[in-house]
Amino acid sequence: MNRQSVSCAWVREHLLEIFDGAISGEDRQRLRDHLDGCEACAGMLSEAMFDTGQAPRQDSEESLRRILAVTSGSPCTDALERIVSIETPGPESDELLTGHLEHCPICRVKADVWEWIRAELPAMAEMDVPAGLTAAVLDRTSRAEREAGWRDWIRALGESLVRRPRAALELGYLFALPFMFLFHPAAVPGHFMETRMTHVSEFTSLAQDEALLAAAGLGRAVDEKTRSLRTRFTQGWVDSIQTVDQFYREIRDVSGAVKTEVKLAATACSTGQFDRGIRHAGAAWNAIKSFDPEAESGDTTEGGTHGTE
Amino acid sequence: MTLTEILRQCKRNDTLAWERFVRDYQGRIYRIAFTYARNPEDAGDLTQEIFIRIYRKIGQWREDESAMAWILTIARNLGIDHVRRGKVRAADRTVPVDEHQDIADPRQNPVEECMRDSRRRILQKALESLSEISREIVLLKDMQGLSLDDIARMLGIPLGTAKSRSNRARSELVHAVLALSSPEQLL
Repeated sequence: MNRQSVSCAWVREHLLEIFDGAISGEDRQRLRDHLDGCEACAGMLSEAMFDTGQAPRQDSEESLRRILAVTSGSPCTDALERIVSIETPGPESDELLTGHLEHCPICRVKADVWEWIRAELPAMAEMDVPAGLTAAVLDRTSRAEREAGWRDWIRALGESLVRRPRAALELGYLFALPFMFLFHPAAVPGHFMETRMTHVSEFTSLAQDEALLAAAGLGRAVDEKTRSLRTRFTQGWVDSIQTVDQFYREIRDVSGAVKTEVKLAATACSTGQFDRGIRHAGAAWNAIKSFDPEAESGDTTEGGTHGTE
Repeated sequence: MTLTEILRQCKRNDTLAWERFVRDYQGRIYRIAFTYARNPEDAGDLTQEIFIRIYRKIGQWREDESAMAWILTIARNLGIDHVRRGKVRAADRTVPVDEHQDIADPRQNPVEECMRDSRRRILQKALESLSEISREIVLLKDMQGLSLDDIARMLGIPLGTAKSRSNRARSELVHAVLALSSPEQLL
């Protein structure tokens, strides 16, 4: 009859039943077959039976090795990794590793070999160069051209600009232009439109104010002129028909000039030429102011003409 | 004079500093070149290429970065180019330790010197048996003394990866050495 033995996992699962003798006769025979072929389980059971007073102790290192083999695996792999990872070996380096090395001669040898390798490797960092290599390197590098770093470029540029200040200014102006274009608030598209609309609104309002002012001023001027005429009629020292004719000619000239200037101001503001708009609005106002009711008729005409210029 | 001071002088076109640099560091550069070229002739050519590249690019070296790491980066890049160009002669893979190791200390006796050469030959063979990645990291970390930070930056890998690669390479090296000799022969 072909009897199949139990597995290591089965042994670990049924450890308590084995100690208590609670396994069946068939399982006991299968366990015996397994232990004949598995040193790890045999060692583990032997150690456990010693701990529970059921058997004399076998070789403890061998037993430990067997127990570790069926539990965590060999610790020597980890030990070597820890040995080589220590940069500055010392007594305080690793208590667990030291404990392992005390009991594991193989890892002790590996640790000693690593220490030797560590000491040897830096000495192998250099090799004797073939004869003539130094001379060849110096010869070839003396003929080689250096690639300038960006600091060298900047230094060279700075030195050449110091020698040519006008070129430096022009270069500075050229460099400044894109920055002005990029970072000036008016160049930002959204902000530009908003600013432009604000300016149009402000200047249109200004132009309207100027026009109203002009109209009011013209009205006041006509009133003043009428009062002046009345006075002159009363005084009787000018020819009445000639004076009335002169007065209406002046009013026509001034109102024509004011009208033209206000129109020009409005056109300039609507096309964004605000400075020009203000100038024309100012000219309209000057034309009104030039219509001085107290002045002589010749002077008044001159003033009106000057205002429209 | 430290390497940083020498390079700083070289950067200012001091030809004497350049000569000093070549004389002091040609052995190291040659060792690195040998790692990639694997034979003395190609290693010599590669060493010259490395020095010429360093000379040309010295203006780009930032004084706040590790001088050795900068030099090794140049050497490694040229070494990799050399391998890619297929310049490595596959037939000649052994390192003539007697000819290319550093000059023996005259205070040592001949027997000790012979034993040391023998042990180094074993270590050299063990290094040769490592994978490219492991050999490179041993070269950079344990031979040339670069920090793991510099190595990680140079290889473009995370620091943790550099550390685990270094530990793995060292473990492989220990096993390779023990496979080539008995501990009594070494220790």
